[in-house]
Amino acid sequence: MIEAKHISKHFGDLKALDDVSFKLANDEIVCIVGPSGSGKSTLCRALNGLELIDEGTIIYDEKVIDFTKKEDAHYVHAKTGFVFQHFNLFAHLKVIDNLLMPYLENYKVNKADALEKAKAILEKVGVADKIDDYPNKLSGGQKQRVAIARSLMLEPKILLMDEPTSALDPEMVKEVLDVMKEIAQSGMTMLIVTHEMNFAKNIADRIVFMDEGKIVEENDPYHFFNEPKTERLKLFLSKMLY
Amino acid sequence: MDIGAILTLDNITYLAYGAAMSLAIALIAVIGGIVIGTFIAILKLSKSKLLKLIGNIYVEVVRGTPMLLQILFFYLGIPVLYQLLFSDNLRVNIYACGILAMALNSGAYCAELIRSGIEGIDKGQREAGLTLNLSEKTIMTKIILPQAIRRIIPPLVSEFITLIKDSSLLGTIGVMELLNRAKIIGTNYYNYLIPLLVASAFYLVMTLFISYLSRILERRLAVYDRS
Repeated sequence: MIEAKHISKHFGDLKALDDVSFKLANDEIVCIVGPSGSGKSTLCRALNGLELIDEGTIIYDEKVIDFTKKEDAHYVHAKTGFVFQHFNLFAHLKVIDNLLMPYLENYKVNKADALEKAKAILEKVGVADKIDDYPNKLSGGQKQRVAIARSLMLEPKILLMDEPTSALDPEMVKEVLDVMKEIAQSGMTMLIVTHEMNFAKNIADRIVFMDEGKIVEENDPYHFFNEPKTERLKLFLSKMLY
Repeated sequence: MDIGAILTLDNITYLAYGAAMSLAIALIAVIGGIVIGTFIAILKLSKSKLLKLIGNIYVEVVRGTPMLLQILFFYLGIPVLYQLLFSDNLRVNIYACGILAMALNSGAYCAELIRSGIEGIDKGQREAGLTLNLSEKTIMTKIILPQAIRRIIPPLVSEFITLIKDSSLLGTIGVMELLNRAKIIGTNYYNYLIPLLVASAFYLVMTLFISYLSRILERRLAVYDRS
């Protein structure tokens, strides 16, 4: 379980996160939506220590986390996976080594077993035929599926996804969403920052709407879309939905 | 003008040895430069403001003064300092002194190449490493450096080529490198044109050949960049 209590983050004069409190329960799937610059990516990154917060507390399983401490950061990174908008595959490593290198650094296992495991995961996300390619040979959708496979390799309890389909060509979005849906159905705890409203509606237990560094409204998908309480969310939905 | 009288096998061999010496000097200097440059780059990349400052001062001083001055400083300046400090005469070896000056000079340029090569790696690579629970050391040695080194090697080869040409400055302190030998032949025959042309040919063969090797190396290293 993750909990953020009254966290704030400034970039110069900009308040990216303004006194945000947020909870992610075990086995819960939460989508964060909101306009660009609303702080949703910053929140996702802050929960994994990629942005250091200026104020507030981040708690994992009742343990207060200080990301400037190595052991706290490792505690979090050992149980969470993170998927980036721009994939961040290791450019100098073949697809298979993108999975193997971090795995073998984390676990003392024999390489043959690791190889088998990596192949099985790549098979599951549908890129088994690309194992010996370098990332630059892959399409955006394939890159993101490899990136997802790489984080799944470490068997995270929680998967944080920061706009995983935003950098993709439109016709590649679905193949990535399909993989995400499958992971969701496997019972993974997930936090997904996304612009894919229909996906959020179908998959999320709860949807969080952020604007100007604050959580404006959150609700289950039905009430979120059908009975928005704030004017800000109504306006947002009217612009996002056809 | 009797070209045949100058272009004897003896004279050409004499110049070829000079070329070999220039090449050897440049090679030792660039290796020294890479070692020194790595150290200075670490200073410049460190979080400590003091270490950063030391690295910056080194680079600015070396790059802001002529290499010939630096060579003369070691050859003529250091012995005076030694005399002052130890009241004893220091006999400097011109080769050691020249190569040291060139390596220290090259270190500043190499430091910048190494630093910018490391800083040029997309920060997402490091972030991915962090989220995959890798240590800073693993991120540096298994993710950043392997990518940075491939980018740094081509400009380091250019630095090597620059040093081959700059080794001609060591003739000033008496090192028998290629240009110095060409001048000696010119003096002997009262004809500088032919030996200078031959020396140019030697320099060009060396620099063009190394550029060619560098391009092959670059293509090999860039295997993952090709789409």
